[in-house]
Formats: sequence, structure tokens, C-alpha cells
Amino acid sequence: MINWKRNNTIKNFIPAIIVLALVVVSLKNYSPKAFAPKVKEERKVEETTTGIVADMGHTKETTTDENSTANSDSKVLPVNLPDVINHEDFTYKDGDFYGEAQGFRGMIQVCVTIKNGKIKSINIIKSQDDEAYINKAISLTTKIVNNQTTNVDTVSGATYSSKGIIGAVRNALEKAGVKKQSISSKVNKKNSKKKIKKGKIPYKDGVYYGTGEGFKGEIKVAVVIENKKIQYILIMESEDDKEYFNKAKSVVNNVIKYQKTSVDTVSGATYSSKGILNAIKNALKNAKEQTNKKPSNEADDSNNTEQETTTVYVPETGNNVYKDGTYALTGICNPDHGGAFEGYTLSATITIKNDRVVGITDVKGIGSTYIKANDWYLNRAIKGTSKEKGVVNQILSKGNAESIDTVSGATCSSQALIEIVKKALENAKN
Amino acid sequence: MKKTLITILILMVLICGCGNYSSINESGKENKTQQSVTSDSNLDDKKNNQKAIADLFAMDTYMEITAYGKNAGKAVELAQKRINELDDLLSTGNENSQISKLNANKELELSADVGKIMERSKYIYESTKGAFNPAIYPVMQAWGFDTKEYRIPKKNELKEILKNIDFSKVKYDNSTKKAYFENKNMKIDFGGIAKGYTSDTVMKIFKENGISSGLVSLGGNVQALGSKIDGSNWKVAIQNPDSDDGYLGVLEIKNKAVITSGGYERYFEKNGKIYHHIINPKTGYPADSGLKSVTIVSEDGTLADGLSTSIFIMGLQKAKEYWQNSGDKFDMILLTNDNKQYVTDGIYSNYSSDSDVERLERIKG
Repeated sequence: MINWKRNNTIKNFIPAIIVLALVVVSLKNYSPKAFAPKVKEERKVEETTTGIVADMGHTKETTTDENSTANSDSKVLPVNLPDVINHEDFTYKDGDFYGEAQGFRGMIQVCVTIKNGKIKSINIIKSQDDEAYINKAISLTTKIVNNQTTNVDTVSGATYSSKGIIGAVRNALEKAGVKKQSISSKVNKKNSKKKIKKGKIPYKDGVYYGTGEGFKGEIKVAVVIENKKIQYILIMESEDDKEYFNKAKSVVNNVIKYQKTSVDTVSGATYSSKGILNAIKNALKNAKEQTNKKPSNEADDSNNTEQETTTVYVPETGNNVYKDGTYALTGICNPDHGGAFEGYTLSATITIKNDRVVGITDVKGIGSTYIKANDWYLNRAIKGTSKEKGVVNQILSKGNAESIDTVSGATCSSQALIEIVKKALENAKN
Repeated sequence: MKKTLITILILMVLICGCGNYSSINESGKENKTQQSVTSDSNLDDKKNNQKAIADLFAMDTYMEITAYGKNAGKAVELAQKRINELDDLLSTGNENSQISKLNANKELELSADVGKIMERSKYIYESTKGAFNPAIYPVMQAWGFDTKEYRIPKKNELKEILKNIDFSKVKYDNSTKKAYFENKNMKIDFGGIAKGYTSDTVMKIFKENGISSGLVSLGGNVQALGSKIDGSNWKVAIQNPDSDDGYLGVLEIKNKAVITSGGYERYFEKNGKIYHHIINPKTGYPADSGLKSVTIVSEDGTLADGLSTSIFIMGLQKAKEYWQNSGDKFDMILLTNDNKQYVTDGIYSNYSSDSDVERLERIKG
């Protein structure tokens, strides 16, 4: 099925995986047609059976009609926030809701947990702003929870990050809220300007993989093509640091926006974008090959010695065991014997395509019991060590969650992640 | 000035092979340099259309070098060597660099490269009436832009420092290559021009090695040699200072440097205010000229680099006048704080943007 052919260079360093949940910000403008209904089903299942909340941070469950999605999208809260939101005009559904808004450097993403109709906790999931500012502005989350309102003053010295956080919480609340009144027509108008160009990618629908040489090593991406459009791009594996990746995100966003990789370079961008662009180009090259290939040639794959390509796309057979889709799920990490740390909830987004797990993204601890110190363990579980393969890598190369080894020293996080994937497969069963 | 050359002390020059290497510099920080020279054998004419690529970290930034041609591998190798050499000469963070020695001793016999940069700097300093000023370095230090330990200097402190930034007090004799500071309190930094000079140098190396098609990006300072191998223009996107989705526009070029400066590159925030790193030598404070981003397009990379910050400091009106009076030496793309774009004649038809663009026409006379 999927063959990962590794470049020799990768031997030189730790085969680590950073699943950078670059389920790209731009995604919110549409939902891939095939995925959207699955998400809805998924939610129903979750709510009725396990009570675990599933919510897609990046996929809107609204209609896929382009014009209306553009209008319904409420992502960009510009730096000029509406002064006051009247929270009494809303009631909120319980659950975890994701929201985002522009910070100083880029989008800030938060997860807002609603319990008994009240804002219970707010976690900042992603931000490109410098840590110093976020650390200042983070006090706002407590303030919002304590006062049950987003009408709070920005923190001086971190105005932009503050506005980003407030905006992101409001964005999340919009998804949680049963509105009696629309929040701000101004906001919607601004968003409607953002259009995704029409699909012109002449390739078959599918998930295609490509690699490129990043600054510190290999970058692996998955490009999802549907309806002749690049729907999203996941950065699956990379040795490059976080700062680099926050910047590289703009490259990914631009590819999705312009639906091509044709720019040679970017003036004024103080980072390297070549690795990621090459990875995307190689994925598209793969897509082209797969599109042009006659089925009878598939047996020749094993003789294919091309180094850059990493995977073979398996055409849909129609007899799949699992429904294709993207599933956002949570699992519990429980310490073994009342262990050394408090248990926490882990969430992840699992993408299933053609009976294979092809994406594990947005892996993060959520909820109030998740503390920063857990990051190390979670990271270890995801990426593995120099001796042990990370859970994500194992699952992606197998395509399923059977007989996956946990990473020593991060057993609990490993287990939780494996459970989430199993749960996703369970839910995806036809 | 624009981007101070700092702290990266020793970057190992790895001549061949692919792989990952690390070195420990004096501050104990780990630097990683990964370079690869590959040839693309898929091309039709294998011998003549070899492609060589190298990534490196030098001058405190990511760099990418690409060359096509028979000697691409060798050219790229030489280019890397030269870049590291220039970094060693020009880095204020390296106490053995020529700049550090000059700043410490207030006089020095300059190497050919540093002498040339001094000469070019003097010219741009004069022609921009001091908007470009390598002697701004002590002010940059006062703001903490050299160490990234940012602070807002006191007014009096700045006033004192501003007495020591007159670049005309740096004397340079081109025949003896001797430089000395008349004012012993001065310090200079060529960070605002070094990358432009470096990309010019790389172009020269490419040409000397028979390369007719190549592209470099030195931390966003782009310079292209010739056109792409299929004869089409290089497509250079301009970074949008505001958001991470969508470029400002895309410019098609051949044989040009495209250098963009804006307050978004390096900045800090205090009391709700953003302080960026492009300091106006007249005030000692971050330039507040109404421009958000400046892109200079020129065959002369050194000029383009020097002008990108000084045009930013000048603001729209003065920038227009400066451009009108400078012949055909450069073109520019200006973005104002209220998001209006201005593009000069010479590149107008090669520039595409989603937003409206106003054309600046040259007035003959």
C-alpha cells in the first residue's frame, strides 16, 4: 500500500515526526465535500454514545457552496475588534469549541470549553506571536472565565496578542452559541472578500505525499486534492524548528490560496520556504503521475526507484471497510497507579482515506488538567526517540493502530493517542 | 541598520556531501548547517543544465542559493565559501571581524570587500541625505536590536548617542584602503547593505563560472541572474507585512535584485506600541514615515539593499522625489500604512497584485 522510501540523509538524524497541526488556517473557507458529512455523523455518534465532544477546529460543517461559505465564515476578527459583545444574547452549547483570530504575527487559535452553558476554560492552542507577549496576554483567559465575558481590556504591552486571544475566544463562542442576534455584520463583510480560487488542479482526488529537503532535514507533507482543488496541506514530518514552521505556514496558506506553487521565491520573507515548497511540488508531481497512470502499471511500482516520491496512491475500490473522513476525537491519558501526574484529555484529528489512517494532526492536551509539563511526554509519544519510533510514524506507516509500540517514558500519552486512532477507525466503520 | 549581523560566530563550511552537521559556537549555542548540492538528472541536457542548490545559515539568516548550468555545483560551492568569508569580515558579533576591529580601534586598513562596501555606503549615505547611515549602530544597540534584549532608551540617552552618528566623520581613502573615525565614539555596522553586496558577489561568481541562470535569497533579499532555464521570468512574490495568507503581489524579473524592508521583520512591543528596527537617524526612534513596506528592484543589489531601508525612512513623498532624480537605477513598490500600493514605471507591467496599484510615472525633464 503505502511505501515510505526514505532518503539516505534521514538516517543521519533522529527519525522524528512533528505532526505540526498545520491543518491550515485557510481551511475554514470551505469544507471538503467528502469530509463534511462525515464530520456531522461523527459528532452525532460522539454526543449520543460516549459523551466525548468532537469538534472540528478547521472544518466548517456548513454548506460547501462557495459563496455561502465565504459569508458564513467568521474567522478573521480584524485588529479592530467590535467593542462589546453582548453575551446575554447567546446561550452556549456544552463542549470544546475552537476559534481563531489575528494576533500580531498570525492567527491565534484557542480551545474554549463550555460546561453547563458557562465558559469553563480557555486554552491557547496555537500562536505565532512571540512568547513574551502571549505570556502577558494569557491572563486574559482567566479574566474571561472569571467574568464570563469577552468584554475585557487588552493587556498593555501585548495589545495585538490580547486582541487575538479575545477575538479567538469570540470566534469559538460563535460556534458554541445559539444566537439570538448576529454578532457583527461588519465582520462577515470583511471575510466575504476572501475567496478561494476555483479549482484547476487537473488531478484525481486523493491524498498525495511529497518530501522536500528542509533546513534541518526532510519535510514531509500530505496534500489533499478534492474537486480539482488543493483542499489542504498537512506538514507531517519535519526536523525544522517551531519558529521556522510558524513562518512556513504562510507558504502553505499561499499555496492553498493561489492553488499553485509557481512563485520562485519571496522577497522580504526572512525564512526558507524552499523545502516546504519542494515537498508540495513533489506531492503534486505524485498526483500527476497517479492521475496519468493506467491501472495495469501499478504492479511496476516496486521497480520505481525515484527517490523523491514517497507513496503510492491507492485508487478507491468502493469496498472500503472504513468511511473516508476526518475525525476529531479525544481520549484520556490516565496515569497507571494514581501515578506521578494528573490524568488529562488528549485530542487529535485523524484522517482516514481508503481504509488507511493517513493523517494524525492537531494532537494536543486539552482541558484544565493539562499542564505544560505534559508537553514533553506528549512530544515524546508523538515523535519517539532516537531508538524508538514515535506513535504517529508507526501508525501512518501501518495505516492502522494495531500492534503499535508505545514510546518508553511516555506510555500513557502513547496509549491515549493509539486509543484515539482506534476510536476513529471504530467510528469510521461502514 | 536594517538587520544587524550578529552572533553567529563560526559556521562550518562544508564543501561537499549532504547531511547534517552541528558545531558549537562560543556562546554554547548549537548551530546547524545543512547543505546539499544536488544535480537534477531529469533535465534534457544533463551536462549543461545541471542544477545545484545550497541552503545555509549565515549573516544571522536563512539563505538559499540555486544555480543552473554546467558548473552549477562548483559555482554554488564557491558562492557559499564567499558568503561565509564576507560574514566573517562583516559580523559585529565576531570580535575578529574587520568591522569589530574597526569599531574597537577606530582605524583599520580594510580588505578589498569591506573597502568596496565602505565606498558604496558613503555614496548612498550622501545621496539619501543620511537616511542610509551605517553609523546608526550605537542607536540600534541602545534599543537592544543587536542583542534582542529590547528596551526603550531615554530621550537624553538618545540625544547623546545621536551626537556620534555622523557617518561623514568616518574617513576612507580608497587608494590606501585606510579607514578611520574622526569621532572616536562612533561605531558602524554594514548590516543594512551587506546582504545586497553579498548577493551581487554571488551573481559575479555565477557569471565567472559560466552560469546563466541562478537565484539567491539571502534572508528574503532576492537576486536573480538571467531568467529561468526555460527563458521565462523569475516570479518573486512580495511578502505581505500584515498577514500570513496572501502575498502583497508577484513581480516578474530577469537579472534583478528584489529587496523588501518593513517594520515587520524585527520589532518589539511595549506599552501597546510596536517598536520596529528601522531607526530614523534624525530622531533615533523607529521610522514613522507612513510606509509599511518598501521593495527596491535594481540590477544593483548593493544599492537595492541600502535603499530599501532609507526609502522606508524617507516616506512616500521624499521617496518619489528621490526616485525621480536617480535616473533609471532602480524601481520600487511602496505600501503605505493605509494599504495603498505605489509601483514605479519600470516594473509596473511586470507586477501583479490582488489590490489596486497606483503607477508612479517618471517625469522627464
